[in-house]
Amino acid sequence: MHKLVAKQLARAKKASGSVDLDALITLVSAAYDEVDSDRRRNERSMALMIEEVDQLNRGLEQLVDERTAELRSVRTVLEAAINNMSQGLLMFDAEARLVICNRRYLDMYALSPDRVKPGCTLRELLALRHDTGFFNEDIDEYISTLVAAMRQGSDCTRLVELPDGRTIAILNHPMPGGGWVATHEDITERRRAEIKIAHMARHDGLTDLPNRMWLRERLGHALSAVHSGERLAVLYLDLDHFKSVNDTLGHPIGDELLKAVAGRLRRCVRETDVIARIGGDEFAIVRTSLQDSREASALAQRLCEVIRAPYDIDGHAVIVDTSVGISISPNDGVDPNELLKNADMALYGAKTDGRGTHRFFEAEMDARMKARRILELSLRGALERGEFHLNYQPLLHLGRNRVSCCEALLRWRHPERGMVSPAEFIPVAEETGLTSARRLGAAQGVRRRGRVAGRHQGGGQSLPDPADEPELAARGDECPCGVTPSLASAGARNHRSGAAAKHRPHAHHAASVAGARRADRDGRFRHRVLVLELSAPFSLRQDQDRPRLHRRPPGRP
Amino acid sequence: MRATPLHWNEGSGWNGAPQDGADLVVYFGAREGLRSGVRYRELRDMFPAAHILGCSTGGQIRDADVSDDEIAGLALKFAATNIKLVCKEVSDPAQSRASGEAIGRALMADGLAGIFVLSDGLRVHGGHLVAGITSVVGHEIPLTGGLAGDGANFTETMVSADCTPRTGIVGAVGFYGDAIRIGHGSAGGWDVFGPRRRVTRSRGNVVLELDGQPALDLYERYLDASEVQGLPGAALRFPLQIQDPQRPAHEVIRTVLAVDRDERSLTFAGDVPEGWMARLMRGNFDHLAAGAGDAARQAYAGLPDQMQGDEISLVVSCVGRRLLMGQHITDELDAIDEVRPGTRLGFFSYGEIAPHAASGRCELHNQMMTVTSIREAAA
Repeated sequence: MHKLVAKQLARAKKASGSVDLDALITLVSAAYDEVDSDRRRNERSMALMIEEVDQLNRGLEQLVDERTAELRSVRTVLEAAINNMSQGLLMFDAEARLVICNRRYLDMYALSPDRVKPGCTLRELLALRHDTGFFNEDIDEYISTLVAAMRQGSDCTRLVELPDGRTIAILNHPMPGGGWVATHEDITERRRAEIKIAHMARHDGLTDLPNRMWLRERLGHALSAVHSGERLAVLYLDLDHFKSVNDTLGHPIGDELLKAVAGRLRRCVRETDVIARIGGDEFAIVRTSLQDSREASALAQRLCEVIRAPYDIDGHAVIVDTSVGISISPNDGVDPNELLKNADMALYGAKTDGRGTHRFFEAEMDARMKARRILELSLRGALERGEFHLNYQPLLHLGRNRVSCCEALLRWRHPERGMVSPAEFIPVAEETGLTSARRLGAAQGVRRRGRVAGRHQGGGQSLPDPADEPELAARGDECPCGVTPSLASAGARNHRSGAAAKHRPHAHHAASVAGARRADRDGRFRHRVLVLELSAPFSLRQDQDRPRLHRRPPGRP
Repeated sequence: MRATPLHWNEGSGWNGAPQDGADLVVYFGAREGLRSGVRYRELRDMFPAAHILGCSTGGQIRDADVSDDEIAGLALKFAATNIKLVCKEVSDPAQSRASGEAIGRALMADGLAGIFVLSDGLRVHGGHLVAGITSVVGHEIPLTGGLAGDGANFTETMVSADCTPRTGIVGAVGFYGDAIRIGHGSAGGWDVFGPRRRVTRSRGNVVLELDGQPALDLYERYLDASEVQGLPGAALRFPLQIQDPQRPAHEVIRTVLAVDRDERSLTFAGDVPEGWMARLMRGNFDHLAAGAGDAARQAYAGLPDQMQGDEISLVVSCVGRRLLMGQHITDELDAIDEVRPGTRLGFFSYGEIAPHAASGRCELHNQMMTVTSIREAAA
């Protein structure tokens, strides 16, 4: 008997022990109703659940359709983006199987899309690249290195030079889950540009010689050898009077001359030497493993000779000379800047000693340069402070017994040093560009005094107007003192040596310069004075202290 | 411990009163049977020194039987266990937590081994009451019991705690000493069905929208016309599983206590915050009975095997389960009996109180079967 029936019977049992049939029927009926209700509830809930599941299913299907369409759209965009990347892109799963590969990668290594497909292994891919000639490493080693890096979570970068000259930068970047993404970028053009930029940063654009920066670097490296007992020479040179080439023939010719000079310099040096253009017409050569100073001297002489040889620049015959300063390490320094400075100082010495030659650095040069700088500074202030004055020395024409001309002698009374010799300050004034100031300051004095002198002579010739002096300055710049022939023969105020130079072949001009230089070297004409001509020709005479102009006696050359 | 079953019916009055009195008498009966207070006074006469605790129900459980017209009770005489009874009157549901705290403070003492609490089922917020008690005694002390019932009427519930049964009462008894052990178990056996829905609008324990739809509209879809008319009583057949998304393993079952046909809302026995998930449930006779068996297994598993002595079980099951199972409700008791035959007393409630089977935290449950097993070591 079902236990429920048993319980129903027990409940329907009367006190007498008999069964109350009505009560039993009621219980049984109620039990059926309960079961029916439960069944209906279950059916209803099942139906509702099915309906809901169906509804949800339809909703999900719709959602899946919408999401699928969205994903397709996203995928289309993504594929377009991936395939139009400038980089080759690959994605691998944790088993080193290809997941994504873009078109750029295939093009980069001439691979067929039919063979490179998702699912193919890295090994297969590398083998294909090997077949197309774009992979020549050991495949096993490559894979083992790469996979190890990816497992460690480290980026793996490589720079690969392909046989066709391209440079490819490869970056493998690990992803969560064990896979990785690889980008292959053709950086050939970028590398070339970088190399070019690096070259430009270290080389002179005109001559393609190393520039000052690169020279300093190379010199620094070379000096490390000096520390181990070797010697090294720095030769600092510039072209004598290069400015006048630019001024007279123009900068393009000047540039061509510099290129030609650079070419000759290259031919003079050894492969281990460093040659650089420092700037303008200045060059430097570093000779390593120097035997002795004679070797440096010989090189300097050779440079002077080679550069002195005539040039033909666009039909212009150009002759230019060079002066060379030499410093030798370790004696003259073990620091690049110090060596260059000392070589420059030696160059100044060479210039001072007449140009076209070379000089070694000497310790006194440094002291002289310092004294000169102090003098230069004082000289610059002297004009404003009115420390210059003129002394006039009349010259008497003995035949006529009259004053034929005056020497105007510039004098500088320094507030602390007292009278400064013209032999000391006039060269500094000329070299630092103060000539014009000196001339003007003095000339103002001349004009004032000239007028006085004129009146004193009772209507005689007046002194020349200093406003007409520029040609003197120009002449002075070009010809330190050796202008005697032209000056003496011209005799007239309107002599224009600068203008004349423009009409002369440059070779003649160069010869004139050389003549002047020789005069310097001979020590005959050390200084210049301001000469105020009257009318008659003068002879030139020098005394111990300063040059003086004397009237040439009639009939004497 | 000596446990003497008591029962009263119209025809024969009280049966089974022991000669040597009792320390505690627990009794359950229909509201109409208790309302007059006569039964309480009779018990008081029979057991003048005992604490007496009882309540109205949705049906009484005595061993494996269920009755509506009888009063079922148990007279307990302890050998080495002290007991203390606390009675609190709750005039406003808002005082529920405070009342719980007061009960906790009154019972909290050295040797407290467990608390069994009976509360008004309609005028006290059961969840707050439990929270109040546990805030004082903690969750280590077993707290079990239930909310008084009123059949399927939901009109008036009563509790008797050393007093005549009346509304708004909470009575709790504490058991003290090393000799007593209290085990507990709770299980549902309900089956979830339909989609998981999000509570999109709620106000305290009132749910206004599920998945953006009026909560009552959605709920009524699962009921037939007569069941819709029978709300909220009919809702006992379809509880909801409520889940805090932050604590996915901590699912609780909630019964719909009331519906608002204008607002189209459902009112539950506990708070249902917005964002929580809700899923409809349905009962299957066999699964519900199996659930009762699970609760019994949990309760007896909590008692130490090595400690021998008399034992009883107090069973509190939800009135909703009885409404759903009808005469098959005895299958629940048979399932418990299969786990552990013995003296059993209980009732069908408007809410069950027991530690959560998963978390161990004492909570108010709905639609559950709870079993409290009490064993006192033999003297």
